[in-house]
Amino acid sequence: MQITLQHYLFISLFLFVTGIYISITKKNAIMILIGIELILNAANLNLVAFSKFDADQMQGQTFALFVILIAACEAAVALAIVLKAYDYFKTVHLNEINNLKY
Amino acid sequence: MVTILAIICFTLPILTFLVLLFAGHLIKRADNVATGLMFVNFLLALFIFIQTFGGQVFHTRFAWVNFGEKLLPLTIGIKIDFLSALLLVIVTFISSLVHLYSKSYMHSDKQYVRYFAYLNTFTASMIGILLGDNLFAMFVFWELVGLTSYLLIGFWYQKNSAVRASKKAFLLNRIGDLGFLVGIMTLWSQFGTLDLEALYIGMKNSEVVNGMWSVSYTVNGFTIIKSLDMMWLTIAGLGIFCGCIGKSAQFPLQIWLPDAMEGPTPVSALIHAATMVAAGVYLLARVFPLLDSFTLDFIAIIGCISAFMGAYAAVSQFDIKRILAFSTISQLGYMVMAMGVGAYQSSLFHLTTHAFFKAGLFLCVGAVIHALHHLQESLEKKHIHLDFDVQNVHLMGGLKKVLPFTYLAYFVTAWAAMGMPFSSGFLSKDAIVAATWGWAQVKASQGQVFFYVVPLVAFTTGFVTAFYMGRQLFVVFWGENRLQHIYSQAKDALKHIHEIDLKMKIPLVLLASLSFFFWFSFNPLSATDSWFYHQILAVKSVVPQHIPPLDLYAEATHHVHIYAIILSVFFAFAGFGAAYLRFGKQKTNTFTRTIPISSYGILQQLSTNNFFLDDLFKRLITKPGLRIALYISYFDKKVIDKTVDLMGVGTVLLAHITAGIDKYGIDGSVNATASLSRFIGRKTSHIQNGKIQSYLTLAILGVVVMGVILFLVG
Repeated sequence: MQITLQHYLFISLFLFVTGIYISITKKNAIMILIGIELILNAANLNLVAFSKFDADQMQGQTFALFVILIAACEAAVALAIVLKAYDYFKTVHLNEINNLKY
Repeated sequence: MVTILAIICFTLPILTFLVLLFAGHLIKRADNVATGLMFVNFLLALFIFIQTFGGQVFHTRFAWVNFGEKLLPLTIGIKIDFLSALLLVIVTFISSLVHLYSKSYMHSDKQYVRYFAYLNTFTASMIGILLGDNLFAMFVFWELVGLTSYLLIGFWYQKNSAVRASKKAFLLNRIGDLGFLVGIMTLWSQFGTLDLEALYIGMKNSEVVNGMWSVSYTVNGFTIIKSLDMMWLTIAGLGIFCGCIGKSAQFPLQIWLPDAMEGPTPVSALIHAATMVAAGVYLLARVFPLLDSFTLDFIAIIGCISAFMGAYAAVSQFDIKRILAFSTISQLGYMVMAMGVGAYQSSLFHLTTHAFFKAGLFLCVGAVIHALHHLQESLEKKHIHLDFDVQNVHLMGGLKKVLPFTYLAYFVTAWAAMGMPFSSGFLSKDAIVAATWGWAQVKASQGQVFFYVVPLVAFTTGFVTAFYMGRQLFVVFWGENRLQHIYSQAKDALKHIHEIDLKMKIPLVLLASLSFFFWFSFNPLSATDSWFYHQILAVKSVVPQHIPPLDLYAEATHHVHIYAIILSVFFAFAGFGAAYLRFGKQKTNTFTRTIPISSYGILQQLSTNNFFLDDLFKRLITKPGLRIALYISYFDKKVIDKTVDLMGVGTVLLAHITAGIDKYGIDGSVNATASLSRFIGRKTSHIQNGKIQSYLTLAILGVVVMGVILFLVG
């Protein structure tokens, strides 16, 4: 069986959906960050897959590098926010942080 | 110049009226002012009168209202010819005499100044009638005269009977004026103008063809042709005569005149002897050329009926003024009858002589009443309270011993009223009865013998006139004084009666002297060659159809004149003699006032109750009228007021319903909208639950939906 683009896309889709599922469903804020990482990595996979099957100057791979960079920064910032939020709310369970409701 | 004097003559009494009405109490001796001014007025009138001798006419006219191109303007003007100047002199003369007389008569009245004010405004209105040259002005002043006579008759308004009498006079005048208006409107619609001269010309130019009365005239170059059915020619004349019926108290509207005696006696002398009642005859004189023979016959009959009814009713009256009131009705009937038979000049002549002798009679009677009032007062001073009717003839008698001057004046004026020889009244009355005889002869020669009833009645009425005048003379002045016999407290009452003072004597002297023949004619038997008949010329009739043969009448009158003289003198003496036999020889009363009227015989009842005309009017007109008014008032109260109330209730009901709709409907819908918004809001606000993950979920859901839509569309 030939490994076509679609296979890669399916996997990245699976990862993407899983990431979304994790970020929607998990109570712990750190778990949501993990989910976001998964989403980003799914996007990375998508990009690299497209770069493999379209060999024009490896734009996809280059873009993936940038994504990894951004993901790292974003993770650092997100962790800082979670830390500060824990200082204030004394909890990391997002269900309990609902002050801005109606 | 004469016109200006005439205008002054007219405005002077008006000014006096205004001044007296508003500032009368500030002027000392306002009565002297009024009397003096009225005398000046008389002198002006006399001057104007002299100017009109020889047929001079002074006519000033101007257009008052312009209606447009195709219509004649309404003109107003003053016309002074011999007739109006003569009546002007009569009116101002008698008015100034009445002013002088009233100074003494009304002396003790509290409303003294108001009385003189009213006298002046009445004189002014009367002068207005005389000076007007068109029917419009005459009608305006006609009504004014009616109003001012209402004010004067009801002068003692505290008396209920006076108020009723004045209302009666005014209303009956009004009824006559309705007919007058019909006449005026007919003439206006046919001729487009009310100016008398224009009407004469128009009537002359009109013609009756195929039963249609038509006239054509030009206005500013436009030719206007008017055409009416020929009966309107007669209706116009009859209509104007209706005004005369009302004003001059002819049958059937004569019932106001006896009741009008509620006014003060000088007022009765002015209004009901000399002036106002003569206004009707003056109107007839002015419109005489416009009357066709049918109208004239009708006028003659009505005049004849009134003459007889007045005389007959006067016979058994016991109020001294009512006798004279009925006498006035009768004499006016003579004047109107004379107009009807075509004796234009004789009618006006009788108007002149009647003015003088009747005013004289009234003032004499006023003197008697005045003397008896003084008697009452002097008895009061002696603490004898005697409440008797000073005007009741049955309580008088023997007054010639204590009031010799009044008796003499009364005798002379009554002599004229009876139409006795050597008096002025004889000249005029005789001319009239001769004219009726001539007229009836002409009518009989045309096959209408029925009209002989008019001279028959005229002569008979002469007899009755002499009878009642004689009765009044004998009952009041001759014999013994009945008051003394009836009331024991009034013994020696005659001693307290004094003769009247100078202010009342002068008018009596003047009027009595004017009742002699020599002022009017040097021939004591006939006035046809006198200055009067030379100045007032016979007028010709200008109607296009039913032309009255005035020349034939005049000729026939001329033939019967001498026989008429003999007959009328005979009747007058017969009447006077009968009165003497019945009343002159009685020493004491044979008819006390305790005999109730209901026990009189039927003939006498007819007389005393004026042919029950008052009852007839009451039954036919007053009672039904009042009942109609009552029904209408019921209708007004029950139906109209109820409708208004219902509308009010309906409006309130509507208001309540509207309020309900407003509160529950409109406010409700507004509230419902708000609740709906709140409900929706409350429900949808739950989306914002503060949980980040649900927000994230919704965002992703939105993206998915968008993707699906794009996929479907693209």
